[in-house]
Amino acid sequence: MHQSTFLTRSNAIRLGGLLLGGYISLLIGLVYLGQIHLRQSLFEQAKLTIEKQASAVNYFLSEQQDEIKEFTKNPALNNFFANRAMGMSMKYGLRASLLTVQNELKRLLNRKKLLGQPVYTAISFVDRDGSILVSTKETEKQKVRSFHLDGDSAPGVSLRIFDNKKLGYDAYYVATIDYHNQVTGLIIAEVNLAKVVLPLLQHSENNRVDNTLMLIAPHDKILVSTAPVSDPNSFSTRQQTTLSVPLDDSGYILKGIIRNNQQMLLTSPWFLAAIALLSLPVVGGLFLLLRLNNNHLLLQAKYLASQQQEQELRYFRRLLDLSTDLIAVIDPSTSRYLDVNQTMCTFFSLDREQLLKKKFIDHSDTYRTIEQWRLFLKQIRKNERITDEYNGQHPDGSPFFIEINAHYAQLDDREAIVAIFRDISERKRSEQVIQQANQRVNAVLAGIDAIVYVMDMETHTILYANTAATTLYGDLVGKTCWQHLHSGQTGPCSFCPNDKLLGDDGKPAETYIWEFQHGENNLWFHSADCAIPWDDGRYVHLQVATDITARIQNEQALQDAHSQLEALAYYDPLTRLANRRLFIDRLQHALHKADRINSGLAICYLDLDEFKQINDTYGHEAGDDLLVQVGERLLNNLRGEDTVARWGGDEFALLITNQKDEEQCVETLSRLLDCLTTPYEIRSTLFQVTTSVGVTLYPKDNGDPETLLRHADQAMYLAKQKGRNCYHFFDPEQDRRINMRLEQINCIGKAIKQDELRLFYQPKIDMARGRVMGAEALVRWQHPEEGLLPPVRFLPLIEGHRLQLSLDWWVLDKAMQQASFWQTNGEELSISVNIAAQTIQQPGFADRLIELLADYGIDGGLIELEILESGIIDELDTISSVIRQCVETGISFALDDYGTGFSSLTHIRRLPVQTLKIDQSFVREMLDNRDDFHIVEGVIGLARAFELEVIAEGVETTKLGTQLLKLGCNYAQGYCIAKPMPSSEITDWRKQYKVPEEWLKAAAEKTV
Amino acid sequence: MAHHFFFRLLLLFLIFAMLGSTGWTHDLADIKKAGVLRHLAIPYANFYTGREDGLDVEMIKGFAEALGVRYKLIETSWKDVFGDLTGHNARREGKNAKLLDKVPVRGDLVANGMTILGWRTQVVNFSEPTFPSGVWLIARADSPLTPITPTGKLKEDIKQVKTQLHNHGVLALANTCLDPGLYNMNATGADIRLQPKERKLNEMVPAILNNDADSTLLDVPDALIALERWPGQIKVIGPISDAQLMGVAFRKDTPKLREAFNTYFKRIRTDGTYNRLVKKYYPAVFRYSADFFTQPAQ
Repeated sequence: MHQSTFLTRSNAIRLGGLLLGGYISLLIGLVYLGQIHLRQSLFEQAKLTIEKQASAVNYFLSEQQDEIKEFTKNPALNNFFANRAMGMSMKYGLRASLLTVQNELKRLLNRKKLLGQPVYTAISFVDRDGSILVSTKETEKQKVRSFHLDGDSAPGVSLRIFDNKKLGYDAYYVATIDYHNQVTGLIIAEVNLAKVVLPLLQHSENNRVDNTLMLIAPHDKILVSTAPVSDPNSFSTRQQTTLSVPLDDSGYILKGIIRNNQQMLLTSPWFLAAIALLSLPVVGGLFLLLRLNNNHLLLQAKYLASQQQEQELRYFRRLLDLSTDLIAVIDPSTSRYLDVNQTMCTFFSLDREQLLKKKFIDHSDTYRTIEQWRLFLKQIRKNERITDEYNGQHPDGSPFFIEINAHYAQLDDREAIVAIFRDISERKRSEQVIQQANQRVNAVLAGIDAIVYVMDMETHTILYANTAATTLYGDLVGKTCWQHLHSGQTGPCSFCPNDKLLGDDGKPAETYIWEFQHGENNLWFHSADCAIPWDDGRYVHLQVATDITARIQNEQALQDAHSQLEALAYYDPLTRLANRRLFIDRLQHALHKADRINSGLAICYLDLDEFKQINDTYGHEAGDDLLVQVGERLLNNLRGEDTVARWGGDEFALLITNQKDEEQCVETLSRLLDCLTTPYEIRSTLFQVTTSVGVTLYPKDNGDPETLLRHADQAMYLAKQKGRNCYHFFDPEQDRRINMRLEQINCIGKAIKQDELRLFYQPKIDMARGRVMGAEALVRWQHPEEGLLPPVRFLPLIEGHRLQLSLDWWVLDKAMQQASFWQTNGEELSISVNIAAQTIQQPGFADRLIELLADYGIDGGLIELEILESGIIDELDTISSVIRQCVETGISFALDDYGTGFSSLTHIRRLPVQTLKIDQSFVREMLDNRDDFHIVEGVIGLARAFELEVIAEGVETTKLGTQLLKLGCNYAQGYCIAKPMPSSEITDWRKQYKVPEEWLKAAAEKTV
Repeated sequence: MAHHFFFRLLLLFLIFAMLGSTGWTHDLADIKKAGVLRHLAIPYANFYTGREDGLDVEMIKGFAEALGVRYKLIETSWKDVFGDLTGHNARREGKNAKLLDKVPVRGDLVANGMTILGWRTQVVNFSEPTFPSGVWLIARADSPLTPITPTGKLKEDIKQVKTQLHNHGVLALANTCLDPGLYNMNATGADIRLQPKERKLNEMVPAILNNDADSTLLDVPDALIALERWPGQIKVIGPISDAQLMGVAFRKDTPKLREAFNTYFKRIRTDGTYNRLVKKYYPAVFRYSADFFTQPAQ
């Protein structure tokens, strides 16, 4: 029923009117909107076309501009200007460059085409004075325009317009040419407006021939238009729309004129107006109905809003109660709580009703007094938001800290204070704990002597410094480290970067010693740096530095003392040169190094010639000064790696490294000798000294340091012997030979002492009578390893050596012993002993000989001494005297090996010898060699003349003996008679020996 | 007698053999009979580039084609060129030519931009002039020598150049158009440095760039090419010689061949073929000697 009431006719009409009105309105609206959109669409389409076209034209113009600009860098242009700058004339060379430019211009002209048409009608190369140097069009010169480089030629490319009296305007690209940063010419390209730009506009107009496009230069110069210029004004503004699009910043505009075409619209405005009027009553009724309905809806909305508010209130109350903060509304007149949230009730352990009877000031120690409360009110009434902290006590007496945030508010026409409290008791307790801890740390840091500071790693600002640091540096905090710690720096120094703080393993790096200039004192700190996290989480630089100044100073003092001791131990106090100890040390190192790198050394021993004379004449002080100067010169003339040492007195030792051979060393030594012979000025007196240098070269002389020095010393003495002011090289081979000889001599000495020598005896006979006259004692060495050695193996070694004396006396002793034995046993055999002239010259020789004869109880006549003629030359008188003394005891003398030496008649005349002994070398060859024969004959004749006996040795054949007999020499010894034999064999030999018959026969014939 | 006869026969044969190698006539008819035209050429500028092309190569190829014979290019050197053409090596002595040793003939004509010089005309015959030339002094860009200001009179210009040359090093090449004797260079007091005979004309500029000397004599065609090839590195100081002409050289005993060439040359000048070739190889020369190329063919 109720439903049918609602569907009344009026309602239906209203509803129908409403639907009809809506439909009409909708129709009109749609038609109108369609009209607007269509017009807008047409306009947008035209606008897009113009913008697109503007973009195309703009692109075209900028491309040409870039092309012309690029062309100004063409090498042909540069070449032309380079040649012209060198002064080349057009006639001789420059015109070729110009022709190249013209070719390039033509290439550009032919290359640049658009829509099949050349972009430029002509391109010219213009000189700085405006004259056309060359052009693609020969007639172009007639069209010279005024292009000057002065006013209107800013560097770069520009498009310029010139009024063409007949056809409108001409457009030119004018580009400046730079050569060595100066504008030296222009490239002028005339744009083909009519055939390129105009088709460009026409080409993309989408066949809308009723629209017009124009390219307009600054000052409204219409360069190109797709329609005659006068046409655009034939339409009213209602019929057309003009649109201008600027082309970048060039000042050029692309202008489009769009014709509005009414035929494009769907219907006329009158029709739309009539339809609109008809719908007005329908719309009015509809509006009334809607108004009534709206009132009903308003009431419904208010009810719903009331319910929603109530829900929101509950919701917010819940929110307030759930808040962890304590929230209260306070009556400012009484300080009583007007409202509190549940959290506050819980905090004070009271229910809401109980708490609403309490006052705010009851819970606050801070605002407990009326004055404080008034102050609080006064502040808050000034609309100040108060944030404060205060403390109070719970009902059970436990303290609490509250942070209050309160502001004044007008709630329901009533003044109130809205306060939010936050329990900060826990935070306060934590802060107290931290504060106490900080106090303890500060106390500790203030109490230690070490400097502790903390620095920002990025800004190098000191963030903290302990008392010790502040005491030393002053107030550091807030200042940069280089201002105080590294005085003298104006910015971060090498210490500031903190890359040393942490090692590769991320742990604090090693500690280091840090020297600091504090006033006039140097302080040393033992510093340990590390990075630690700071308040803001970033790492900062912590340095803990302990003052170790006292320790360092002690160490330095110790080191100084050590250095002084070392100087005393290793250096010569007078010359400051190395002393022996240091020299030997360096020599040892140098030897190792030379072995390692396979190089050579020269070890020199240097002695000043006749230094003693200077010392004696001018005093020791002058001598000392001279030694100092010599040392300085030596140092100055050697390299740093060489060593000069004072060996003592006026002796120096040099160690010269890297000496490959004697030749290289000679250069150095010559230089040294030259520098040392330059006069020395000492106490206003000029001295000149010379030097002798002995040198040995390692590894040629491969010895230890002592040996090398000894060899250098030996060489130095040889240099002195050579005549001073020279050098002498030690010869290792010679040294080896001398050592070997000394060793052999020692062995011979030992052989004498150990009774290893033996005496053999070679009989001497009278060939004419067949009788044995005696025997020559010949020494042999029964060597324990080599067996029996002949005299030639050892006697030459001791010739001239003092051992010769020992040997001679040993032989004399043994020979006399043997003679005594034979005498005792009835052999009656005299013994000849070879004796050195130097032995005879020994003082007391004769006395000792006589004494020995007496010892063995033998007659002097049993002993004959053979001496070499060559050994008696120098001391003829002395020897002659000794011989005379000996002859008195019956001892006889023979001149041995006569004929090999001087064969002096004076010797025969002045020496009281009884026998001449012809050397076996003549005797052996006398039958084959006429010279030897004559010598033998001569000696025999000489002996006869001086009434001396003559004996030939080396008689090895019977023939020789026969011949000697014929010449008048009856005595002989040799292998033909007997070889040397031990004394024990002599007796048996005598018994069985028979003289050859030939000799006896020859003697008989001679006698006859 | 028989022995003498054979000896005389052998002598005669040897004489003919020598004539055949040196004084052998090989004129137009012989060339047509042999079916080959031997073109002697020295690599020089764009006349013969050394790569089987060049103005003269194309020109003589056309000549061979016109004769109906095969074309053969034979490369030679300034030292050997006269020997290769005439059978006698030759060199300049004063203003005259001196004939040297005899050598085998290798070609029928020489065409590589050979300058028509007095002494050369004593050795060979030249065709109608084919190309204008002259000798310029070219210097390295950093040389103290300065380009002259043209006076309009060639003699004056030459004088201006020569007065600068005292004590300056100038490269030259004997027996070519760069022969210093041709231009009385000794009188300038210049330090004339004759280059080895094997040196080619197009190696003169690299030599001054290599600091062999400050400057060099150079013919105009080569100078034009050098200016393009080494832009900014060299400069033209000015002229050394009077205006010169180049031509094709023929043996003196081949007048028919020379005449045939002159006819051919007249034709290609008239029909524009020659100017097209010149434009191809020496585009700049029209700027210098426009008269030569525009005047009617002789």
